[in-house]
Amino acid sequence: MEEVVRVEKVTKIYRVGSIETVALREVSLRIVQGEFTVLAGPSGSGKTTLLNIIGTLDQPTSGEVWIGGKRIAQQSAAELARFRLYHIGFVFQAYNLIPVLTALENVTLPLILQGVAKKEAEQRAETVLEQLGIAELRAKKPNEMSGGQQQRVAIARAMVTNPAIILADEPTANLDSHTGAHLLDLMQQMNEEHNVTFLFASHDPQVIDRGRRLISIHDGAIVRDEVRSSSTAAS
Amino acid sequence: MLVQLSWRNIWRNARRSAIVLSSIVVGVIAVMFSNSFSLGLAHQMLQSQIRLHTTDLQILHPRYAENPSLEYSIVQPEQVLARIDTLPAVAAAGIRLEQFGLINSALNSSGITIVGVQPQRERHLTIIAQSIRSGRYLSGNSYEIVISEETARKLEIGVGDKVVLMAADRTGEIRSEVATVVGIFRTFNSDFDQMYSFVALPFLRAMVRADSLATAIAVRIHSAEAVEEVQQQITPLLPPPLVVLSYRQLLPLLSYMIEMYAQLMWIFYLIVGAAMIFGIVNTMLMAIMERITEFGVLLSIGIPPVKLVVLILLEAAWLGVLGAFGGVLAGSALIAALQSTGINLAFFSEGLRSLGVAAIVYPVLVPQQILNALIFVPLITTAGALYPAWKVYRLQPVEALRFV
Ligand SMILES: Nc1ncnc2c1ncn2[C@@H]1O[C@H](COP(=O)(O)OP(=O)(O)OP(=O)(O)O)[C@@H](O)[C@H]1O
Ligand SMILES: [Mg+2]
Repeated sequence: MEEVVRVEKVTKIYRVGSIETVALREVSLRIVQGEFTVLAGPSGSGKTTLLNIIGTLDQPTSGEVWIGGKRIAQQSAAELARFRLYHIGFVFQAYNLIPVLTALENVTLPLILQGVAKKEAEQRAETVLEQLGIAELRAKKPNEMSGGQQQRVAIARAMVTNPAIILADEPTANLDSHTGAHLLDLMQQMNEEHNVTFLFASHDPQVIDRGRRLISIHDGAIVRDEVRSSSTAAS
Repeated sequence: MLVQLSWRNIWRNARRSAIVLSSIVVGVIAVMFSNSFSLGLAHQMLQSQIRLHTTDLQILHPRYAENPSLEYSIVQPEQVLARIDTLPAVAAAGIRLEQFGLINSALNSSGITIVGVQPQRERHLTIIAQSIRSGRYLSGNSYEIVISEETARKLEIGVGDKVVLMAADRTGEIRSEVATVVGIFRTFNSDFDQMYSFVALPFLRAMVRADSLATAIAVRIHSAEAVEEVQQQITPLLPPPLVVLSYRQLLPLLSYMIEMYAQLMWIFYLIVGAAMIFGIVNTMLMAIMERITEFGVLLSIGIPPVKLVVLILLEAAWLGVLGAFGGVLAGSALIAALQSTGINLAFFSEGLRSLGVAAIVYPVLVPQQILNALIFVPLITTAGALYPAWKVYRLQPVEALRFV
């Protein structure tokens, strides 16, 4: 199996004035293509910090990170942005979409930034919207969509560039459990049908239940890392 | 893509954009209007002087301007005049003899410039004949004089009264004559009115022993734009050492003043420009503060930070372009409207009389103004967005995403 993420002894210390917070303590982790992993842990345990470091949005205090075999070191902001554009997809808790763009335009955006011609970009975006069953939302602006619909468009946007991994930080936190379950179904489906690699951060039991691999993090350290035999599909 | 995105972004908070746009529009109108008005005023000041006495062109002895004495006069001006009369571009021309002197009534006296004119010709050169308030203009006969209201008041005389004129002749001997006031004039220029009185040319020539002499030949032309051209036509017709000067050369102080005024306008531009910059900085800072999370999302997608800078600058540029267009349209409409009616300054008329300007000013719309507004306003607003854009450029993705 191809390795998409490798984290080696990553420590992250936040300094606010004279107060130091150790958010991650020598965390090591490996994720291969096609995994559907949930990073679970109580609030403040370091989930978001780890996801952001893997996503190159933040830099570790010490330790090393490889994405798709490439070491993420002291690169410029522009170089890191370019790296994310091609290799990483993000889904956040909320406010993922650009309000002035339609669903289709939001999904097209990363491709346009990659320099893909408008026609082709739109075609590819349409395909992903169809895969996610939300083609009818194409002309809608975010404020004309429900929270669940917005999150689905966000998944489409994260997927459209075929990134090495999609990092989803509490993607269901703002949704009711039914909508959340539906969203998880969809991501699971993308994982199974298109071999999309997902890494979630969540303390939502519903999400934790879905993980085929569950990594528990506590006080900035991984305390458990287990692969479940088969998904305990809900509903 | 950024162009489209920036265009949509400025309409997100339509109210705020409308406010900043209207402030730009008002600024552009203010600049255009004051520019047009001052140009109109300058034009009017020049025109006033031209119509009052200076005329478009004057033929002079080259040293007369710096030393206005009979020593530097035109000999045989009638011959020169006959040649000028043949030029089709010339509307009117007339011989003048000016000499400084004293005008005395029984009660008072006053220093004046006595101007000997050819009344039938002078009528078509200046507005004095049309500015007679009581009595009549010169008939051409000797012993007649036309004085201003100011002079009449000072001398406590009226039409029909007699005055004694005194002036030096070519040899420096003081000569005097008695003349009857036949008319009293009043123009829009009180300084001028205090200075000048008019008599028939032969009368003054006889008085100061200056037969077949003149100090100037005044020329009015059909089309004001052709001044330089007509000047060139006249030059070869003149016997040396005579020269022909345009109103610009004859009124150097006024031309200089107008130029100075144009320079002063730059201060006004700077103030308006600074106000625009502050407005834009403020607006754009507000606009980015409410979108920090969105910038975080864009950065997480992988937008190059430079493109965020371009986005912000484009948004400000749009505001500048829209504001400039709006301002130019509104400003041009306003100026065009005022151009036909003129701006009546009758209210300030007394103040203007000392400035020497007629009461109605016609603002002048210069195409260059429009071009300037369309170029500089977007540049100014874009410059105003540099600081907000820099702040966005420095944004750390994690901080932006955490920002609520
Ligand atoms: N920018 C920061 N400055 C200072 N401390 C920070 C910063 N970001 C995170 N922390 C601290 O690091 C620790 C881990 O935070 P993190 O956000 O990764 O936790 P989390 O597991 O995502 O929590 P939650 O479930 O509440 O989202 C916490 O103690 C937090 O207070
Ligand atoms: Mg978190």
